[in-house]
Amino acid sequence: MQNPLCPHLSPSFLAMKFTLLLLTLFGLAASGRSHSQPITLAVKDAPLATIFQRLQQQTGYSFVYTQQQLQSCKPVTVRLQQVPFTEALDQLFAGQPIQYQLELPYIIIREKASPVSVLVNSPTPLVLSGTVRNEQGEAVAGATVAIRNRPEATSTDGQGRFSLATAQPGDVLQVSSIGYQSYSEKITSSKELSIVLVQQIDELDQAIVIGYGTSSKRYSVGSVSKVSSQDISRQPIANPLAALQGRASGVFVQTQNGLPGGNIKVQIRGQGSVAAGTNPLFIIDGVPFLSAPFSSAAAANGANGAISPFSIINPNDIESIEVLKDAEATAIYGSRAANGVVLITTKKGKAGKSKVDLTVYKGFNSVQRTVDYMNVTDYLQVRREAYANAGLTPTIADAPDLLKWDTTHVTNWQDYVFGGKGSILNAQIDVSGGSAQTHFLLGGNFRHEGTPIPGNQAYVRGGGHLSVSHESTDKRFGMDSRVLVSRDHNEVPYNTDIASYVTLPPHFPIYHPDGTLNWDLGYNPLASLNRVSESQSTNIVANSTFRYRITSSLQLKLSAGYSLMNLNRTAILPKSAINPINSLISSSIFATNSQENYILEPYVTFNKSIGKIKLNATIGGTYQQSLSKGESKQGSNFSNDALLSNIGAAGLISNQANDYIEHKYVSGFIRLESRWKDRYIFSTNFRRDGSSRFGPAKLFGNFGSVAAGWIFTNERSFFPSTSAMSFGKLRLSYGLTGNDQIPDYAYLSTYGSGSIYQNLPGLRPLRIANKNYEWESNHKLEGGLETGFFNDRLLFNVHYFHNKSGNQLVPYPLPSQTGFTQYQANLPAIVLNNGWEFELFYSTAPTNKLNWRGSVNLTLPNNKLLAYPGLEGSSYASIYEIGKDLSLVKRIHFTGVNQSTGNPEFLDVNGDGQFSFPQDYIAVGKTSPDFFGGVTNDFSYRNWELSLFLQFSGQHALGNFTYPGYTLQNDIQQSVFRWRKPGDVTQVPIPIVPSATPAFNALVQMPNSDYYLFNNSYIRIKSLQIAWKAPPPLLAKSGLTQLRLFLEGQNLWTLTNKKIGDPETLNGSNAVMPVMQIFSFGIQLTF
Amino acid sequence: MKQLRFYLTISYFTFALLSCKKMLTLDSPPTQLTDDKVFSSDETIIAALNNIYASLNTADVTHHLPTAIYADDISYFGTDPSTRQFADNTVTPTTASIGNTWRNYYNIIYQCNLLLEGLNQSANGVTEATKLRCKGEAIFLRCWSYYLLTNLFGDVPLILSTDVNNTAISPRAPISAIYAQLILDLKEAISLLPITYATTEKVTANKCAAQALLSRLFVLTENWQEVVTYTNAVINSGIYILESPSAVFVKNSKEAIFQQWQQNGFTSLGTALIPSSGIPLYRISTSLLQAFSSNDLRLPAWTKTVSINGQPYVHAFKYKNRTTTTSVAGEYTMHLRLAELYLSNAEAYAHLNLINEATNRLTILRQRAGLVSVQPSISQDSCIKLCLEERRLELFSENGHRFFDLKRTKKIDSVLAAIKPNWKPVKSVFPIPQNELLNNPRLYQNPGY
Repeated sequence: MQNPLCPHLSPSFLAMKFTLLLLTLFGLAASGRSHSQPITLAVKDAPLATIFQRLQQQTGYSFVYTQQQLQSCKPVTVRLQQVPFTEALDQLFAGQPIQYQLELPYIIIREKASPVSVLVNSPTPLVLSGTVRNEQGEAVAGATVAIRNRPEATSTDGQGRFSLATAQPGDVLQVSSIGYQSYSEKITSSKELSIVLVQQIDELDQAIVIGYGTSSKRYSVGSVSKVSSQDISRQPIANPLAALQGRASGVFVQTQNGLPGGNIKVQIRGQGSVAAGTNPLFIIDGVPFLSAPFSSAAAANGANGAISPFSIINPNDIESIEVLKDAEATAIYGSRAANGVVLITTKKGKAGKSKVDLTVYKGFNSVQRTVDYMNVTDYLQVRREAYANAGLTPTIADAPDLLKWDTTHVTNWQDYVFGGKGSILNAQIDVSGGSAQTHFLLGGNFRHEGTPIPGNQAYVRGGGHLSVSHESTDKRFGMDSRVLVSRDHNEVPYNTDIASYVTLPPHFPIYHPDGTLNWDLGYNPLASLNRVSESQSTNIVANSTFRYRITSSLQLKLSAGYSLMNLNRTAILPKSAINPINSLISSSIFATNSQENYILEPYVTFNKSIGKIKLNATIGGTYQQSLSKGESKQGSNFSNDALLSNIGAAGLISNQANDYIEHKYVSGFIRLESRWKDRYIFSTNFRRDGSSRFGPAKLFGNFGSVAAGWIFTNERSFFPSTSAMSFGKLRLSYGLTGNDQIPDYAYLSTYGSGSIYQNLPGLRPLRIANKNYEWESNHKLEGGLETGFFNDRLLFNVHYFHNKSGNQLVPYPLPSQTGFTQYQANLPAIVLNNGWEFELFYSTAPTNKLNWRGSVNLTLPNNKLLAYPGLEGSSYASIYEIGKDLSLVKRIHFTGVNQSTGNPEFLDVNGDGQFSFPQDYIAVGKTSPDFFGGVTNDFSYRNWELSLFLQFSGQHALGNFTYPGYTLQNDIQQSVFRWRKPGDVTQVPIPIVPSATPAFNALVQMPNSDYYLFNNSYIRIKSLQIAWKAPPPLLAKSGLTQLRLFLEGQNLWTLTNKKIGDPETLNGSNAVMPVMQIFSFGIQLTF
Repeated sequence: MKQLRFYLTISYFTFALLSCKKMLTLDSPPTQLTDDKVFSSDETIIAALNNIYASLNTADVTHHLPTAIYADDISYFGTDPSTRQFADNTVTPTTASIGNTWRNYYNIIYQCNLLLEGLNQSANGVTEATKLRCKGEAIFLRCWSYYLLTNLFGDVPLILSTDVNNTAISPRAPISAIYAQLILDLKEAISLLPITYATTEKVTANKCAAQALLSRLFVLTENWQEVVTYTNAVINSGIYILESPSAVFVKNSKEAIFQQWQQNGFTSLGTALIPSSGIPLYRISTSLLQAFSSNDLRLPAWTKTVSINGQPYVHAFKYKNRTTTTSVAGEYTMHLRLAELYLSNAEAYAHLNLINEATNRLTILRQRAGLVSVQPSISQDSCIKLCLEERRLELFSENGHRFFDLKRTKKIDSVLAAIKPNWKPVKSVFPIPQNELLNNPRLYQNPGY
């Protein structure tokens, strides 16, 4: 097959088609100047092709022809001085075997109708005309329209229109365009055709959304990863961010809590900031969305921790998620782009017959990974040894497990806490359709998700989605409006401690023999379950984009958006959950948060081809305003526990706190992109940002990038069209972006509520204002090699990134003689994130039977603190080290267990016999990943589909295990290998209870050591889906257009360190709920 | 050309946005008050001032009891590592409470400076009386902080403004320069402050409080004539009366000149010094106990003996409440009281060789304690000695008096070396906290640390 990008090189028919197409593309943006424009031309014996080129330069019109057509033409000698265009053409075409047809801005070249044979075969040529549109109803310009096995061909104009006058009945009309599957239809009579091209699943040419526009992998010189709706819909997840995990190189995604609503952290190309936020900029349909959970609700947090704002976004409303990574892709977002940008685009309706899509799945969730804990016999044995080793005798008060509780009744606490199954029901219905001018999509969705925790907690979400697009009949004016509305309700146990009950002694009785709750340990899991954290969120994201085409190359656009997110969280803490030795005061905590955003973005796009250069420009501005409010308070002294959720019934209100943050944002941006001969691509971005988060003198900052790409496979002399390498691109980008995720108002000298004196509230200066801090700057450098083989069936990409974040915004340490110990300021600290990303995409040639496509991605990241002036005196002295990763773990180093005493031993760096901070604390490891990635494989065979997605990460984490026998807590199974007698060789030290013994003194150092630093690398079957599609005959009978049954599994199997539970949620001393395993069965109907 | 003009227009409008700083102007957040709003009404200024007084409580606890342990008023028998450092005179530049003392007082100084700067610029809406009084109180509080900082650390940076670019790099100023500034400031405060208190309680500074603090500075600088002037001004003001010993430390006692308001009627000193049960860990030192005559009324009023297994342990009992007290017997921490002025007054007269006047003052105090009068016939030296002995008995465990008095009379080395094995002359000042040295390279450490 010919490469479509290089005209005039091959005489074959296919090449001709592509040449046509390409020229049309070039000419697409030509301006609509009057064709009475006079022509001046003086040539001698010039080939027509040269003349066409010069005319094209003078007029901006494009000549559509093939090399073949010109072969029999004579060279032309002509001298024209200010001659009208058509007259000039007539002179040029005189005596030539070809003729022209004006379809401005195109001049279509045709052979003069001479071949008699065609006419003989078919005395009545058919006139075919029509429009070609894509599934979104947009005109497809430059599509090649041809008759199979015949030389007749034309291409569509800017409105997607074409006409072809030479067809015969029985001919097959073929329509093809880059990025679309080719379309064919048998012609029987002259008629007006309305052809819809289906987008082609072609990795290189599928459209990718970028800032204020679209691009394709083929021509993009930036680094963008795309996750499509297909990939999202194959996982029965509630939070769309979960779909990013393992799908995009350079993007590290970690579920921080497995319960519904749990936060999911997204980090693009490592942690670049020491103190400022490291969340990417999230944009849903052009409207910036919350990047981190609301903070004011923290007091009422439940077992799911801080609620991810994305948990309210229905994954099935999403058409695609694009992750912008390098300077080229992100610099257009200026000051907010340092941590990368995630663009979420929701679904739109398509022109065509109205259809209804209904998808329902039902399933259940459960906790997949459990840890082996000691059984009751081992547990008791370890506890007894712990007392014996300390030389102490257990008493009822300090060892009820040994002396009081019945050892014959045993509970598996993991089963108790999260051994259940929560049911899941998810339903989605979309109605879509419309005419070529107006189309719509209206969707509704509902999800009910239970939890494996005992009780009736559940997550319920309902939402709607409306998208309307319209285009005027003259195609000049168009608009797109999208509204997402959703609401959810979530109920989980209060506080994350419920997950920590898994380490209860195996025979801990919930009730005493007399039937009262057992408070021997000061806590009781059943009582904790009586505490509830309830949350309600409401979310609206609305956006409208209006566009008006002034000329064929110039378009005005206006994007206006609004978003509202509201979260109310209430924690109910009744008397029944309180240990009776404490004062039985029931209370409740009320927290509300909201964020509103308005955004207005006018911009202009300009596309024009000048000779072999295709120029693309976007110029625009942004005005954005956001308002965040939060409030929390605790009520107590309620007359009755039944009134706990009514703040009005509280006798005492305390711990009131509120915050209010307003933020305004004004910017201007420009992007210039040029492509020369389809080989050399240059792109530059500039953005000037103004943000109210900075002081009056530092409101504005400039950001930008430059990038270049070289599609070297288009150098046909080196890469003939027959070479195995079908695509090759080298690219390089460099730019400056900023990070503004810092506390607000730090430039403003203000007072806030202070301490009480004489029963009057005081006013306290809140900070030393610094009017001079500015954006954290992130210099991003990236190089990439992107290759395609075997007609792009195999794509292999390598990217190297090198991002340096400087001018770090930190709480800058001050001597306290200034009144404060820190203020917000820039510090010339530098953090380096560099690494390699590898991507492989493959697919078999489409057949009717077996199809296989898949991808692999691997990221090797590296993070390093290069410089930090004054680190020693800052609050980060104990956390960071120059030259080390920001996720550095500084602890004392466990060297083993002494064979003769059983005591744990540690590295005494300064040899003083003590383990003190900071002398003996050394860098023992880090918790950021060493590598991560994913493997996707999708198979289809006849009516069956199988998709398997593996995800992996190589990393370490701090675990939270107690040491054997120390207290009334069970320990992992490994503790059966504890040291017991002199000579034992083991890594598990002597069990011992608190006592004045050397062994205990050594043991208390354990939590400060790297004993708890685990390798928690893992590989996981993230999702597996098996689906069956009803065959067409069956569909025809039932009147359906699609019927699909599917079976899905999420987090099916994990290979990881046996000592730990879930490798993703393992996080230091915080016991949180692991990620859930989900099984579901569903049906998808379209009619 | 037409098109060009069009593009230019578009570009112009786009970039016109950029120069529009107005679009970025925010209203000040409703949860915070910008400085100018604070200084636009009496209520807000007083609220800012109240916060300084409240901050004083936080600062006070960092050194009030530790200095009593560091010197020879209170012996500590517990094992708390930080408290032991004070008991054993082994404080280091990283001792937390020393860092807290420094930080808290400089935060108070910042608040005072901010208030003073604000008052100088405050607009209409603020009454002149409030302005003057608040200015006087802010100056007093700043002087109070420097008085303590210099006595604890020696030379310290003298910060009189809020400009972080200057204050962050200020070096240590010599004590003499600081005292000269404080004397000027306090004279201004005296002229600004009324003799009446801002409220019905004595928990804010009035004119007498400023005079009393100024007298302390003249004691330190041994300007005895001025000591007489300012102590007499307070004594003769007629608004303070010596109470019977058991009534001295209650809130709003007649003897109190300046107290620290406490929300719950108890002081942290009460909590620390009064044992909840068992053997008291903080006990009156042997030398102090021996210095009291057995018939001294202050002994039963201000100390308490706990017998455990027949063994008597004596702890300080000036403050009687260790937890929340809602009754009228609530207690406030004493900062300044009349007895101290009698003692300074007597000492000054003694130095001026006006023995009659000196012994008169001492006799009044001794009579209150149920002790015999002092004969005016004693020598100047024994009169001074008697003043200092009386001072120790009267002011024990209060405000670092003993520590500061031993230093100014240069007896500290002989007295403490005898009973404290780790004592060295360099220990008479605390070390400059480590973090301060790290963050301000112009500071230097006190010798010996």
